[in-house]
Amino acid sequence: MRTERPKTFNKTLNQSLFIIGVMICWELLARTRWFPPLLFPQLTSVFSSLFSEIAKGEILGRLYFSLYLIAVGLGLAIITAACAAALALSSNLISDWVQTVMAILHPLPGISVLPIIILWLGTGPQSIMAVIWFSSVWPLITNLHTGLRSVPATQIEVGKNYGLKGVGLVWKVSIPGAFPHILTGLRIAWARAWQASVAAEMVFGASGGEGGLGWFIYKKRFFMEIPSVFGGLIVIIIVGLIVERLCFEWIEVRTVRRWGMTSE
Amino acid sequence: MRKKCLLILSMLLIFTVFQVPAYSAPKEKIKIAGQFGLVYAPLMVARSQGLFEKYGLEPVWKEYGSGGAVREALISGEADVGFMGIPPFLIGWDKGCPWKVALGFVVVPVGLVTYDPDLKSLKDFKPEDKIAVPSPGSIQHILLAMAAEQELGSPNALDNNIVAMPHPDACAALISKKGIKAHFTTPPYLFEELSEPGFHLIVDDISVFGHPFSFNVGLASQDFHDQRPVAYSVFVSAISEAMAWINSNKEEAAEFLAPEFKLSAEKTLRYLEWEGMNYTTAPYGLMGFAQFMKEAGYISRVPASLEEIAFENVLSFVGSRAGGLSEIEMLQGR
Amino acid sequence: MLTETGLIIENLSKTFYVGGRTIEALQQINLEVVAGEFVNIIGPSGCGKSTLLRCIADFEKPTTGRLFLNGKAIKRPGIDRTMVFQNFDQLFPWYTIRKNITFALSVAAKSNSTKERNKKADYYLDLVGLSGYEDLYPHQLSGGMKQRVAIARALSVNPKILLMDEPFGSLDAITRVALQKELIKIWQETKVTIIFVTHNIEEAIILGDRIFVFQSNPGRINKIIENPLARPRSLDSPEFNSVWEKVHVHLNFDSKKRKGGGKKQGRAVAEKPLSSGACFFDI
Repeated sequence: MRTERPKTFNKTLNQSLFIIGVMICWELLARTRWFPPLLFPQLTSVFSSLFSEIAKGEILGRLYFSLYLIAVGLGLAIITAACAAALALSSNLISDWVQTVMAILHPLPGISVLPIIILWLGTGPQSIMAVIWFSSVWPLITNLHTGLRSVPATQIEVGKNYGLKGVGLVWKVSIPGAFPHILTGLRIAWARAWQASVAAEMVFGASGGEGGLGWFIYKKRFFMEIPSVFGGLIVIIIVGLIVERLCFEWIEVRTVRRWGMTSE
Repeated sequence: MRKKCLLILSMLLIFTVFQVPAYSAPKEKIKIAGQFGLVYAPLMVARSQGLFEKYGLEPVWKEYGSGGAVREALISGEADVGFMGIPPFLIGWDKGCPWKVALGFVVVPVGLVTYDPDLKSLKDFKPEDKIAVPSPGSIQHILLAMAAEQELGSPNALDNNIVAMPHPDACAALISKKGIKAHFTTPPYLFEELSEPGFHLIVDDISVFGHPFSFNVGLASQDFHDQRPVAYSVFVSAISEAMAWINSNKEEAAEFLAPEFKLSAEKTLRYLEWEGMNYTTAPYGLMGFAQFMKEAGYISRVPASLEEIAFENVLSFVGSRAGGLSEIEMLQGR
Repeated sequence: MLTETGLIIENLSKTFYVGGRTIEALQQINLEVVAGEFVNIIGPSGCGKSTLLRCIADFEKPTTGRLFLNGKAIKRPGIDRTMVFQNFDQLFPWYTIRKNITFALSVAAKSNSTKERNKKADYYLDLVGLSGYEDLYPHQLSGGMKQRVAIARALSVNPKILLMDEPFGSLDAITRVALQKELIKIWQETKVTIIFVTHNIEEAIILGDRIFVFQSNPGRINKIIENPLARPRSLDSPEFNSVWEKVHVHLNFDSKKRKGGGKKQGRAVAEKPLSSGACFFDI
């Protein structure tokens, strides 16, 4: 326990130094003007446009909307995955079906189904949510499924021995036992949901009133506000880092790492 | 095995290096960035008739999905010359892209089409009624903003209604009445949609802008114009020739173009002869767009004169009448 | 019926179908275990000794036959029969040591308060010599300590029978001997009935009052051997040797004799090769 804090601290410091280094290289490269500044802006102009977009309030509103879309899409995906895993757990036949469906659909990039989703659901937030759902549901099911199957039979029997059955057994033994996999699934699902939300809005289907960060970047591209495009990317990166560091790592340290359930 | 591969590779390399000059002398290339649609028919004609080749130039044809993409191709040097609507051009010019207009490129009808009989004017649009445009900042988007300013008092009144969709997708969506309520579009999609029963125009180009305008402009960079004057002239001449040919050979042009658009020859001819179609290099409405876009906040400045945004052939074409504007000078405004 | 308080197994058979083949894991098992008794089941692997234990715990349903505990038929798993497994992963890694026990208590008897449960957990941890480890997580314990926790947990719910499925099978010899001693002490203190499965002859003789010697193909009881040795038992005594010979004979070895006076030999090859210590039979 004692060695952990300096380790994380060192990691953070190391990462920060690396990022600062990359940023300095960027700024120097941009100042050489080897590339058209319209396409490769200086970081200083990127940050000043980012701050002005934040001040105008648009970028945060877009971010909020993106997060809302992801919350709904990912939430539905989690519910779907839970149901699918529950069904798969209840019968081997359904388990085979779920595995077949996963084998077929898991490799499909979420964005590739957008044209069909637009045909079925039309344009608008519901389509983006559907793409987010589609992108995140497979890693969730796969990991939940593997996780539940990886719980040692002994632990299930111990649970039964002390009088647990049905939902209680799943809740008190299977879910915590599968938690390392569940956490991995959530991480992948979150990443894919982010990617899908931004990508879907850039391809099409987003609209002025109901667009998130993807739409913001898309629009800025067409108005040639390239520093703002980079600003949008920076917001995406920062949110990704915050969620990874403050949410997933926080959970991981308090659960699977404390329980010694990681392979690290 | 590896040695053999290397040997074969190096031989291939030697052959390619030494053979190309043996067959043909390297021609000067011109990279041309266009888009899809009936508007770009002159590019197809120039291509098939070898109108660049006859001047000894080798054209490299590139097609992009939007004016924004053409603009990026020009900035990055993927293209020497390109075609886009006046608004994307002005946005680039505003940001410091060093280009000017080398020619006007086609006057065509543009309009906002809907299937919904209840949508008779922009005032009837509710927040959930989606309007498809090819992209933000496209000429269709700016025309919609112009119409919104006229009818609703603010150029941004319908910004939350717009959906960015490529023309073919939006056309399919509108005809199947899925997702979008209206589509701001151009030929042939405009004609396809208006051929459907019950589909009607809410807004058209003339009522919004006041008079016809160049739907596209042909652009070249100042460097290209200055350093490759011959290629520049060839560009203007070849496109002009293609346009003139279409205008005087509509039936033959329709035969040729029909397979490109997957339409019948009769239909293509009908589209070519649709009222308002005009394959012309004359520039219309350059300053009118600039004025509006500045007022609505899409660009930060307005060209002081046409000289800032057009090359000498365009300037001489428009002229500068002493003692008041000529008709063609007036057509540059709104 | 000899006794009201105890385990009675009547005509128990268990057949598995694996890959189209029928395997008769247990055939016509009849046995009785008196309350408070410590019995061992020994036999080669595949003789069904674990299957029998799992049938008693009701993790497996017998194909035919019936089981009674204190006169009542066994129908489902329950805390009157708690199992201690061989696997170290029988503890829940997401609970602390204390929580692993209070978890069992809370599921078994919801009426208890948290305070009572903690007190009880600490009592049983003390019994197995793990005071002071309450707040650690299982992954921070050694294998032997994990097995102690499992025993404490199994005892904490006051079972009628403790079912032990080779609980010391994966331990090193030194830990194993120590735990054997402690198990006897705990048994004497708690008076719990213990059914202990092993494949180690010494372990069977050191621990049990009676030894059920099993045979495989199909799994059945070959011989029930009374173990008259007084406790504490010594590996070196001549009586030990005579019991050893008896068990050994009924395990159907081909005339191999136990060499020496029962000293730690490590002569024969075990199912799982262990570093040293007690002596195992060939299969």
